[in-house]
Amino acid sequence: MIAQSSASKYNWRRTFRRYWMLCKISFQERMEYRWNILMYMVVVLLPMLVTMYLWTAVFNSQSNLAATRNIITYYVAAGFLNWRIADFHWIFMLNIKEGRMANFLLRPMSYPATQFWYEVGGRIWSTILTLPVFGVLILALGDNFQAPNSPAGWLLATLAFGFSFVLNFFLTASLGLITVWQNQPEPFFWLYNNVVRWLGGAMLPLALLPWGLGNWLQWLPFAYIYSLPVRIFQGLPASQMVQGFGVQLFWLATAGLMFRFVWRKAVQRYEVFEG
Amino acid sequence: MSVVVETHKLTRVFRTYKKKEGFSGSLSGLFKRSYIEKKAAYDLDISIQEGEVVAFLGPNGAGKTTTLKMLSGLLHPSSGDAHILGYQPWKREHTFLKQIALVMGQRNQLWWDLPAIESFNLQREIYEVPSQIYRQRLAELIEILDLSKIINTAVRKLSLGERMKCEMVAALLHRPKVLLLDEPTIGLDVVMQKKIRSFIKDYNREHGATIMLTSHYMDDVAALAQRTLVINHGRLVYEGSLETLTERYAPNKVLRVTFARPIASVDLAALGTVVENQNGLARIQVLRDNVAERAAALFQKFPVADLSIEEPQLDDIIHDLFLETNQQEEKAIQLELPNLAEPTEETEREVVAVR
Repeated sequence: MIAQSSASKYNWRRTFRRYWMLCKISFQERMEYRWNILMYMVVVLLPMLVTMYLWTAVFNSQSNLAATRNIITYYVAAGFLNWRIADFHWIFMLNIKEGRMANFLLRPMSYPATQFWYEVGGRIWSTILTLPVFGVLILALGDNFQAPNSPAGWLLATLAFGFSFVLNFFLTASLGLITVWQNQPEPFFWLYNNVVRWLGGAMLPLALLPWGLGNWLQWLPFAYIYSLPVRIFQGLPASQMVQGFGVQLFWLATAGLMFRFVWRKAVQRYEVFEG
Repeated sequence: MSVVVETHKLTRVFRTYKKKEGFSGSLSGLFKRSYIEKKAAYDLDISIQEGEVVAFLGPNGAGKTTTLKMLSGLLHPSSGDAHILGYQPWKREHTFLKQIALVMGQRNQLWWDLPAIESFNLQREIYEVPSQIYRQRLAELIEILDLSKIINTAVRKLSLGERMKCEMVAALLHRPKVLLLDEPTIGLDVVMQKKIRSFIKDYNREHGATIMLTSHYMDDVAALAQRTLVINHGRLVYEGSLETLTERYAPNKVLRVTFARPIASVDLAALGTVVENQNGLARIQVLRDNVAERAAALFQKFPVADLSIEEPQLDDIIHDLFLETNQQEEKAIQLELPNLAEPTEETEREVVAVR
């Protein structure tokens, strides 16, 4: 029993080290091109500035500080989340089309896990880069922005952001695997990107959608990528938070199972283009 | 010695859309499409012993790479079975993947923007090579392949030859028992080809690794392979030594002579077939068994400044082999004409499907 337990500990350590190594490779790759660091900050800042200006102008005309603060906080959090969430369909497509997936399949390591952790590394790096941008933005917004007022609030928001990242991984990676059947799947990707941003609440808070659409959209997985994590960041009543996390976890499990199924089929079908 | 690679009726069929020519072809393709089914590998029965080096030959599109991809677990076969080291490759069990390596001359498994050393370090983690053994192996490989000056340079800045050597290191750090090499010397200069060849040979000798390689270079095959397998249209058409293959399908060698002064072709005709004769340089094709005698005659009768004996090109030998097998197939088809209606006997067939 003791031997078994220490063996299991050893494997966990090795697995962690392996994926940490991938994260570090991801950092290093991004640090190779120094100008990209600066450009990335500018690219993040500009659309955020425009959005902030637009919504501040709209709500200030109504002289309603609470509503202004609400909408501004929503867009800052959604904007931050938008830069944290990685879309995996493009990279899966490229790796399948250009034959690079073969390099990963030949190694005693899971390709999806490799891609996932590589991107985690990339997102940690980009978070480090964008924190000063968001820091300056939040300072400039002053009273118009309201962050969680307790460590628990920050923790729950971080947890919801993390789940949202994984949920989007399962959905976009499954989508990317379509390349195995359909050599040019870009139209599916564009459709998905639009659907998830509009129906997920990245473009507009779901509560603002007409005909009570927002209530219906709460049952789709997209709301758990953007809308829920942002609402948790803004502070939700306990019962709504429990329900939200429950549904998010349900979609996480469902999307995970779907990805597993698609992955198995895709690997059987994979034809290794090139070479 | 045990059998390490074994396949039984291994077959892989690819289905591709056959587009009709022009705009109208694209338009009609929106509604109705024809598909070609191509058997890239067909009923392959291969058996390779532990420690053996086998060359897998054939023209482009013969099915060599497809077979290697199935043996490495990258591709699932359409039918048939294969076992490498007792594992079914396409199940891709980690214990299996830790014992094999596939190196493809045109594929890059190193991280493009980072120095090769970063890829090696990652390989160590992936294959769980203990730190001390890793350092020892890496130092050994760096020394043999003379890589010390380049392992800290970004891979994108390396030459093809340097990159290929780094690919070799990455593939061998975990010391695979089975090495599958797809055109390992493609695009390399002669010196680099020789280095890679001798490196592969040493690896086989020192570690008893089983090696299967494809190559279009006769020198690769002659230097490395103990046995050759030749495939055409996915079928195995020859299995045996390179010597037997060469003797059977290339009975001639070429004498490449530089004369001190130009000699007329008619004067050389008695020695063999004059393939080329220009500005004092002649190439004369002679029967393999007569090479020594004709070379001696050349020295006796003509002012020879230089003489070398050339082996025929591997592609030419294979071309002749395919010519013979194709003729045999045609004969067989003529004899069995009434049975041709059976579509499973065809290597290619057209399937019309509506999407």
